[in-house]
Amino acid sequence: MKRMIVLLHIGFILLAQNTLAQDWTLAEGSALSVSKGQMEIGLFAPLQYALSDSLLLNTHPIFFFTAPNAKLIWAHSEIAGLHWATEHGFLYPTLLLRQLARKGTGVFISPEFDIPQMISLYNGVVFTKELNKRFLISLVAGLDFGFVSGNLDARTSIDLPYVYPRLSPFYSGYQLVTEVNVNGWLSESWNYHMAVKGFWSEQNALENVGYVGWNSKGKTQVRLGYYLSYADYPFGTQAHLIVPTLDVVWRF
Amino acid sequence: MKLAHLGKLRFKSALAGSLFIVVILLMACEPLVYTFDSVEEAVPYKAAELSAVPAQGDTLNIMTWNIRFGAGRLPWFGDACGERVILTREEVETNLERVAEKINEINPDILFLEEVDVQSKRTTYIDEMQWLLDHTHLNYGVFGSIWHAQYIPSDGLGRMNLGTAILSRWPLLNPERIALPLRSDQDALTQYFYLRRCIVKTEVEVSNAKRFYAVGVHAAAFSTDDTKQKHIDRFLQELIDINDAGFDFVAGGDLNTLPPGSDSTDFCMEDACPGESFHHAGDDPFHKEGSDYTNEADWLDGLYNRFHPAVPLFRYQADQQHYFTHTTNHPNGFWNRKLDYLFSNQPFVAGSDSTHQEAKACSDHAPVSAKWRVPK
Repeated sequence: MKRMIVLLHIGFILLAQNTLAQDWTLAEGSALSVSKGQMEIGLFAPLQYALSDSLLLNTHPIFFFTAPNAKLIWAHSEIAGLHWATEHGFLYPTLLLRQLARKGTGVFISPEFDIPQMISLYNGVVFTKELNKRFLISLVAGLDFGFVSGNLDARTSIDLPYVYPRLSPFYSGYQLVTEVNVNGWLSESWNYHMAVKGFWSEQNALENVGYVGWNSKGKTQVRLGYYLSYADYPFGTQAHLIVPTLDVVWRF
Repeated sequence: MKLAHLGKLRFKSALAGSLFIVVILLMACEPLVYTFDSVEEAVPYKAAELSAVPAQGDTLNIMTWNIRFGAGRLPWFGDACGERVILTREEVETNLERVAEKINEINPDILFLEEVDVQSKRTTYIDEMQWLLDHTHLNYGVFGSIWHAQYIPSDGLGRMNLGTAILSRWPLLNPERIALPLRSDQDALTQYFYLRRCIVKTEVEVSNAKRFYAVGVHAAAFSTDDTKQKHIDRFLQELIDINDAGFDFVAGGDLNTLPPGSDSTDFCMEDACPGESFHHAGDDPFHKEGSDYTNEADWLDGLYNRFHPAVPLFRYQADQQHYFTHTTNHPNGFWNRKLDYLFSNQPFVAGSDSTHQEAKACSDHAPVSAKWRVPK
């Protein structure tokens, strides 16, 4: 499976050497500017809404009422052919974690623990280079600081892929986030996205996600992909491969 | 927005979050819950530093102990009317030190262990098999998981690997994990996340002696159908097969039922948690799960009739309290029933057995030990 993923990476990059111009609307993880009012939302993908031509709001609506979260991506002027933006976000997971700390089935945290108020603040920078009309590469670096009012017992951690690295700043106080994003078009209807994301603090995690998207009239996108995680947990280091992943995204 | 409406939205949002996590895990290549073949290799262990072994062992000290995953007599939520779920590292290590001290004091050559955690969140991911091998005189071990999941989404339990084990001074060869039937009185979802019990069987290679088998088991505790009986019958059949093949064996474990002829067979009232009611019209369930042994009076007849127990039945029946090995009354309650056994197809040394009831702080079970002559 790992060999197949490497071959897919190489294949996509080779295919991307054509020069048919494509639409980079809301290209994932990039610093490109947007058009005010543009919006997309997926089953799993976050809601993205262009507040202005240079300001994009990103939030996960399914968690909105229990884990309010948002990220603003602010595109700045191009420098020497390099697009760049700054990212500013927060996550307030207290209510969600309190809901998950109960007796009974379907919960993830022991009810013997109190979940204190906590919030994380993220700031980062994104650089994007349009290598040709069909291929974008973006580099992201950011710092995530977790603030906790009171004692957050280490035993409340949810030791699962995807979740554990994202809650890590609340236990370690900080986290450096790095990311390489690749976006490309294979044809007028097919695009792809790949990312390697690193979470660096007292315990580290690497995630590799990718998908191929089929676009219908620029309004609906069906994404078929994978999620690969290699991460430190309190019990040791473990890899998880989730394949296939499926998402549907609607654009307005 | 009205508070009640907001509360519903939060609940739905939390539910969506939980479902999202479960969907991710169900789609993962690594199973969320580990399942097992009917027979597969048990996991071998070895102490970091081997202890000296007697040049020749004529008589072996055999012992069985359910160590309650290193929880000592803490009020754990699952079996003691308690509120505790995830222990601290200090609590687990303190309890394991007590267990190791008792093992070193009793000095067994072969040790059957039940409820050993290996990298479980509730016991702070300590590998208790390795820990006990490294803190006792025992050198080798084999481990069969009975509850292994990346995540148990209940009460915050999280990652779980609980098992049945055999530890020994001498090398253990050809270890097997033999699957026992699943409980059939649960819905499919509960059964998926629930225990998958097993027999652990291995050959023991003692210097200058014939190889023999060691067979450990931990039978169902809370089943309300005939699952426990099936476990005991399967254990008996395994011992019969070994015996019929011409080999000797020692066998031990927590059979979760009482010896024939026990005076008290219903412990619902003793085991009831505050607010629970049993034995009254309209009580549902009428009996507390795992506390009423009344219909199990003859379930151990096969073992007692065919093989040699470490504690002969007539001695147990003459002074039952002296042989009790279990209680649910924490933190200081005295033992009130016998659930733990040693059997062999060769007689134990007469009068050599001990039920170590003084080990009250270590677990909710007392260890049982007896001496056994090595086959030549």
